[in-house]
Amino acid sequence: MDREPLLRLHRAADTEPQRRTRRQDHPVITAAQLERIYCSYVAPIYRFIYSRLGNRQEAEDLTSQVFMKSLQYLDPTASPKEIEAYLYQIARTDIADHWRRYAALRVVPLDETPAALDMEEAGEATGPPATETLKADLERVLGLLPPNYRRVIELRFYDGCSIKETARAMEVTIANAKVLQYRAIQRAAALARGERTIP
Amino acid sequence: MMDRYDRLDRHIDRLLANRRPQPYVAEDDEERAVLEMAARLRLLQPGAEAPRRRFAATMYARLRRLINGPKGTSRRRIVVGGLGGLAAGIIAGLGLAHTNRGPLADLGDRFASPAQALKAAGWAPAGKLQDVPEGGALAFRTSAFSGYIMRKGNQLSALSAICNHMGCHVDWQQESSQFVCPCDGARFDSSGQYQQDAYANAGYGTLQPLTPLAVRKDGDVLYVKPI
Repeated sequence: MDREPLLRLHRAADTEPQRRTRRQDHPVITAAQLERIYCSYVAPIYRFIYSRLGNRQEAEDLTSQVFMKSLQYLDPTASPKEIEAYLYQIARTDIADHWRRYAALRVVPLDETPAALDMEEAGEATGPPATETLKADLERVLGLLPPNYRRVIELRFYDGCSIKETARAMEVTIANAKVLQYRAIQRAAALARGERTIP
Repeated sequence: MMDRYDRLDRHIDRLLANRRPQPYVAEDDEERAVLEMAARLRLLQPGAEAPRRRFAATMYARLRRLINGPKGTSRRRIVVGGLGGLAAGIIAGLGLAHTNRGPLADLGDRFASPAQALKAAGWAPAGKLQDVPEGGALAFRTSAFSGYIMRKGNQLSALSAICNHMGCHVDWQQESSQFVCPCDGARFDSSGQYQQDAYANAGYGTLQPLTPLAVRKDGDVLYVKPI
């Protein structure tokens, strides 16, 4: 792997704005700065968060949290690019926190030392993703699914059908529709991770 | 007893209704990946991804009030809910979180020791293996978070000590092998699962489980990291 990003990140961690946040005399954000930052980023940040959480309630909660934190940590005099990167960084951290709540307990056997450092989120890009890209990625994934998998996802997520309606449309039992739904999303997740083989 | 197919279906129903899903412990990483993917699939419904005008306006007003707050109100005192403390710790170490995927050996020329490589990859030293009692729990505190490392026979696991309800630090009770929250008396078993019976009678409903952490050992030293 390339070494340069690591070095850059090490330096970035010690930039002046971040050092200043640890001091009490951190520059106070003005109303004009807040307006500029908020109006430019509230919609894209919300969209990004929504694309990961999938419901308005939690997306609104997390968007508020990101902007509240930005008041605490953000240096308003930083460049727009830095501010944007910082907001997305906070959003990514909060999204990861969110999914952590669903995480299963990891049990590690004592006599086995894992061979590799697992960096689940290291593959994530650092720039702001466009919603169009997120959507295009989804459509690409759906296009790769077998027809019945694609159908169950479209019925549920695109048409908003209940599982009962979905089962009727696909002529299967409700229990089978639930299994099909799970398997379809499982396959989609594998495809989105870039796995081409069937899990 | 609900299986993963039922759990996912109920989860999707709440997503489609734009309601807050109830977090639960996934049986494995696969189930969690499916839940994350289900959330992403919500983008298929057109028009849902723009913030509501009213939400955006209310939040803006709130933020403005905060920056214009009474003199002496330090922004440090703005309390952010949820895993705020943990998140802040991670933000402080953000630069270190994204480093390398390769095995420890490959890092040898960049770091003086495996310990240093682990730290650079976001693992924080949390204690010594011999300090974790068999069938018990070792309390630890790193710069970012505090938690417990448990040992059962040949197996290690770790949990955050911060109750997801009000953010209180739970205590380990050896006699019952449970975690007890001092703020509301809630009990969690050694896998972090909320123990329904002890608390539901008080009418509070169900609580979120304790947050699992990743744990590994290098020699005798134990390291933890958020999952």
